[in-house]
Amino acid sequence: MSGPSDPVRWLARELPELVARGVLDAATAERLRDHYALAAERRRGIRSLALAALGALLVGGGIILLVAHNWSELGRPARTVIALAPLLVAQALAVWVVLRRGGSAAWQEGSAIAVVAGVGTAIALVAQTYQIPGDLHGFLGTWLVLTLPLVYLLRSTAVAVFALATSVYWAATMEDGVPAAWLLFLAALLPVIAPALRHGWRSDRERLLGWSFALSVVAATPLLVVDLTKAAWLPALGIVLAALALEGWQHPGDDPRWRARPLTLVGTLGGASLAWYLGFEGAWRWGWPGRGDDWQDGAQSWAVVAVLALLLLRVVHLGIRAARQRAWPEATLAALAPAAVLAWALRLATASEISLLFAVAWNAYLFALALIFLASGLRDERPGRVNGGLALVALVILTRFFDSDLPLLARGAAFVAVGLGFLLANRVLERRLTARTGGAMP
Amino acid sequence: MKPRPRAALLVALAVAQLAVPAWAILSNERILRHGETFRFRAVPVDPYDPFRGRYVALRLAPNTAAAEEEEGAAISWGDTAYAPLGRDAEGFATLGPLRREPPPTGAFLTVEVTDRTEEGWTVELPFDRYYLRDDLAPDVERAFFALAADDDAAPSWLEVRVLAGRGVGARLYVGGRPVG
Repeated sequence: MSGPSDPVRWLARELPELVARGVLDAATAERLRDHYALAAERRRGIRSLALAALGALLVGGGIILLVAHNWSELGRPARTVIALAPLLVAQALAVWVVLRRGGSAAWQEGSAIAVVAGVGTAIALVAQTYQIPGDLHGFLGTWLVLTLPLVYLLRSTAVAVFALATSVYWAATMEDGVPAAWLLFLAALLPVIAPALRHGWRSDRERLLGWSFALSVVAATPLLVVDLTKAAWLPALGIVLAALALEGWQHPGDDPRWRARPLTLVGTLGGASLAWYLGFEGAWRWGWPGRGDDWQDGAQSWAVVAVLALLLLRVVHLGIRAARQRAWPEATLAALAPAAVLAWALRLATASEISLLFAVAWNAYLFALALIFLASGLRDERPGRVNGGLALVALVILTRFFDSDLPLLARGAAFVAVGLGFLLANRVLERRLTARTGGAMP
Repeated sequence: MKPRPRAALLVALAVAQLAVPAWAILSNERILRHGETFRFRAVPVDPYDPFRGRYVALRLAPNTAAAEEEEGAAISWGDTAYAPLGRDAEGFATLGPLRREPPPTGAFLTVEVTDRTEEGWTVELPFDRYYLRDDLAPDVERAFFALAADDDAAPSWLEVRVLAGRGVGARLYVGGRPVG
């Protein structure tokens, strides 16, 4: 049976009858009207915000592409006007918005994106006109520094997302050395990220920021350490992914939906993916121990190491807390960080002949993580965890079986066993939930 | 924060945002108007910048120089040095011995010392690209390769203006003809 096409309108029509029949009292009906009116208003707000941001983004992107064409027919004075005019217009608009439309998120986001595009256009066109040397890294860094304050002055989530993405791009375009200044870009954004980090990612804008934050931290981590020392990506990713998962667990917020848990999801899926990769023997054999360079001394290297060390301490602290609260999936995820550091140090100190031992240990870790998630999901009646645990079990078995020389019969039996496990676990969970809700499935 | 202080801070940020391109415009205009002209032999290739468009990346010659004898030991990799400029018999630029201090007279370029070879110190010149209309750059690249295969072809060069140690690329010539 399909529901009404517009449930809110349907409810508005039904309410008088429900009150008349005594199903609801008038006050409750009024509260429901208010609640859904607000929800509709919020949806309109989000639509308007998205359209304003998209419009400004398309106009800005179009201007940059037009500029990139390089209008060599125009003289330097004309190009100077073209370079600065969009920026001046956008800046004037932004000041007007603050003074006259300070309460409108759509106006603030739209004008902030216009200023970002205006700054990018101005510095690109001037560089082009005067043949100014300098690579993309320098261009992106200048653009970021000049636009980052808009996050606060125009309360712009779109600029915060732009800054997170562009800072990763900036780190990726650094030719050599440790791009530790990325940590400063991140620190400059922490005042907008930290509140949501503590109370959970409640609004759509906060959720967008949360996902951008989690993904950019993961993307930037290998870039930060690629020139630090040999294979530094391994301990760094282990620490960062565990930290994301544990911070997400520590501050879950009150919205249980997956899209409101960016840190938990990115940390958990990323951590499982890292463990899965390390379960291949080749990950420990090829290129070790010569992968990467020797320790690159300098203040930037030490800054990155200090941040990673602090994060490791935080992960260990939260891991101990999780174990005390018998939150075993989180405690196991916390173990990823010290395990990655230990494995990295041991592998650097040993020969490639024992690569298999490392691979076996990581398979055991991933298998344990899968079973703990499965058991926790069954105990707490959380279908997402049950299926996640089973998916991990399946991943370990499928990939390891394709990776080895086991006979087809053994592989077939294992696949059937995993499949039956899926069916059985979901059946058990369904029966429990049915019993708990008195027959009405949630 | 109240609207007025926020608007005031936004105006301050706007001034900083305008100052960066404005400073670049003014300082480069000054060099283009008052700088001395030199020609550097050029080897162009054709890359792309997603924001600033298509450009011809340039490998310029000369990019090596000796160091002044009494100061040679003091110059090392990563240093900023000063290269006096001259002209050879064909009118192309030459780099004089690198100095730790700007020469008291004559044109010079501020360069970064990047390597040491048998020919002397390799330096990074302050021009590495020439932006072109995006439909023109591939043609320039093709013309360059055709000319490079022909020993009798006219040379390619970048004309630069130099003032007080800074240089600005003014025009690129491929096979003796101006492009862009």
